[in-house]
Amino acid sequence: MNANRYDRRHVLRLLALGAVSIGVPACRGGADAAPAGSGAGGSPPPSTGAAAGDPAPATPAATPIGALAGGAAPIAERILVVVELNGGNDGLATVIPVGDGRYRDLRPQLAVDGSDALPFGEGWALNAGLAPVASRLAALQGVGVARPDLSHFAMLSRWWRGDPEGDAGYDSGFLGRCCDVLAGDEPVTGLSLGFGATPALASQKATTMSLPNLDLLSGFAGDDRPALAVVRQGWRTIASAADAPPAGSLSAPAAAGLAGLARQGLGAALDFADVLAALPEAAGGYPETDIGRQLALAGRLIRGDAGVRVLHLPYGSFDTHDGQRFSHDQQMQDLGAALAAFQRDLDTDGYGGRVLVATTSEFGRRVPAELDGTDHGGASVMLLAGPVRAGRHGADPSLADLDEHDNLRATVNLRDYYATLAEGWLGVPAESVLPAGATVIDELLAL
Amino acid sequence: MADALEVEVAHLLRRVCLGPYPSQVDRWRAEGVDRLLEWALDAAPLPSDPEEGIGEDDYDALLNGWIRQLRHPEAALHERLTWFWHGHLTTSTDKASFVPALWRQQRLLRRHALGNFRDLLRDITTDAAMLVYLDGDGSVADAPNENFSRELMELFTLGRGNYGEADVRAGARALAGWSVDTEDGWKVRFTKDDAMTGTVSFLGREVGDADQVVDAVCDHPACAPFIAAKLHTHLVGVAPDEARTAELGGLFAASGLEIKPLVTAIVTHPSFRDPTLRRPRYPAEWLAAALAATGSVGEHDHSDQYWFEQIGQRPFAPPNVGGWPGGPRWLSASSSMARAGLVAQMGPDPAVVGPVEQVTAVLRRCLLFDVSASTRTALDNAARAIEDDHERVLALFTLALTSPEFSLL
Repeated sequence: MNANRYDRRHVLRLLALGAVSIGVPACRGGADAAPAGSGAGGSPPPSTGAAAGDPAPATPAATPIGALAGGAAPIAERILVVVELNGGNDGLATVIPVGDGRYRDLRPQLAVDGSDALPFGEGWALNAGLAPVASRLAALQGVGVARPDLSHFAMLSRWWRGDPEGDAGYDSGFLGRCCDVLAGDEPVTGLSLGFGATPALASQKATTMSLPNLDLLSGFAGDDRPALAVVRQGWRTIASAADAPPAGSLSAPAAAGLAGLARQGLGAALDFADVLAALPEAAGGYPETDIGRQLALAGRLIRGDAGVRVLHLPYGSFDTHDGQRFSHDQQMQDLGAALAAFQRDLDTDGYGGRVLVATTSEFGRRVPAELDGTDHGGASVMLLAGPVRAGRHGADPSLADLDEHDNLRATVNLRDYYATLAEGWLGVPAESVLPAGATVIDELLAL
Repeated sequence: MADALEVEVAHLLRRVCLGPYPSQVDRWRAEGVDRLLEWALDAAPLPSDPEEGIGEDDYDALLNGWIRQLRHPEAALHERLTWFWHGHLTTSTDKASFVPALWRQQRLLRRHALGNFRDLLRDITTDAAMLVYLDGDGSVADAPNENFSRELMELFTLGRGNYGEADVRAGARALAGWSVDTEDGWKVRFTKDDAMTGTVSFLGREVGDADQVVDAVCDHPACAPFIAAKLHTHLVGVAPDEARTAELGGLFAASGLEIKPLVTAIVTHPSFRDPTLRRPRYPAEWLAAALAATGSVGEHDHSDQYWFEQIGQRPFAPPNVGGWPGGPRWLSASSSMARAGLVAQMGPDPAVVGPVEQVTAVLRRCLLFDVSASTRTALDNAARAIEDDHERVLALFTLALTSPEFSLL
């Protein structure tokens, strides 16, 4: 398949939306814009439409370290890879305030000293596991919401839906809405590399699906079984029956709706199976870990020009109530190694400038440790890998000013982080997919 | 042609059993729908091996044991409820990795599946695998772990909005003192020195230990309707309306949280018999039913662990502590692809279908007596087009088991 098959139309569509002009980044200012606010790390985004309870700026982050990575590809070629750190990732063990004495006092059993980690600006260190990608890694500090909740499910729902305070009334996911704007004639616009569909990719019209691996593709595609062609014809018959009223027990409206969804699923699977069957082999060099296998498959999909614009990778078990030091370090190490392999893979064929990796996680962890683990927390750090300005960004969270549950207060609202992914990276206008006031954080991306 | 009674019997079997057996239709068509429901409610639990003899990381034994129960010809509501409780009071190998303790928990769920909810909750609260999964293991009253206390109220009994953060903290204190000896077969211990002394205010009453915490949540007015609504949603496929929730919750509370009267009220109501297909057949349900339909038992290239994993619902590996989510996501393209791939690997035996009227025979094996025109056409065309007997039967099963009708309950 041609790499640029969908590009021209997408650009025209975005032009029609007024979102882009060719060759110019969609976000305000672009690559050369001076970072806003104090310090080179900048302040949180301008609080457009700031309401009471919006996160307030804390200490400005120090100067980002690392070189400006290679430039980004034209907007219509860009792909977003979201790595969802399941369970609530501890920001303070990811980007570590080694220079703050309170950190050691509050977490006696978990604290690392600077020598265990990578220097990441004055007083800060990066988890050593992320060292292989540090030169192309941006860390946005203090991302959260104004009124956090301590429930996984309440916060997952807000993150999945792109609904910071849980009051926007969306019934689709943030990534799904991005796909709705991006959708063209590719068979699948948004794809989750996990078991079971994710609410994050729930869309109105775009086709999104989930696919943990390609093990079962042989039942759906390939030409080694002549009877498979007959089966595929049968599936077409079933899938295209969507408009005809189904007979018998399927005739009730609720059931007809469900049957319609089942038929759509079958049709989409047929279309996408052909694309998947033609993917290039996996590149070597990926670690044999969960995230290594997921990113290897992502690499095949991207290099094979499968047409997918948004990839979603659920990863890990970051709900570290217990035994945090070992499990968190191990998962960071696995993530860092897999991301490094992914970037090498993409760079080999010149795809590096097309792909931005961004993490999400429902919350951070409680600041005071509970023996060797941590409870559910508030704001946390989000990581971006790819064409970014490496280093720390946003405003560092304060250990001296915790909320009533001893959690970090947000300094950047998740809607602005999401606006950066949607509008800043994908060219999807923030106001079309996020609540009012969502503003691109210019300083993060190297466009 | 299928008659109306056959259609109704097949529909009820799909809802009460996970892997309904084709032969059951003839049996209950003869005996009648009321007898079917009596059987479904009263059938004795299937035999269950003790945990001794299961290797500490023999995950295959765990899953093989469970799928045998799920797709057993005599499996009825008791097996369905055991499965339901695993999704509700869930535990993951991510943290609780000692397989004999997982099987112990499964046997605990089986023991109480149609019994008393308070007893179930009391036992699961100090179950070894649960203590490890939700961090009750080693929690001490001076610095208690809040994980189980929170999920107990949010997910297991009350739902959000019925408790506060102070209750989470107080509950955690009262629940402290339990630990799991992972060096000694995951035996559960209670250490008085780690537990609290005196009492603490929790959900408006004074509690001092785990049993009193369980009593407090069970006696809370939100508990009975919360459980009743979740069970109704699972069995009928849609959430009950407000009036029905209140009715079922009232009945459940009045019975002292006895589960069987609640299930009886749900399955004998017209909404359960109504043949409208209301929800996706969730992956493990689909797997059990597909294995029953194809007659595939034993002798595969792959273990049952592989089947469950590929289908997207592996026991003891829920996506999170909320269990497996419901809803139309299970009708996605990915589900279709996985299901088609699995049928190919199940390799249905033509002998289970016979040589004549193969389309009807395959549909009957799948308990499909009332399919849409497009599904019927797809199977008829495949029957005509494929010469080879094995390939033809495989194609017919592939189409039937991935059809919208088989994908819904």
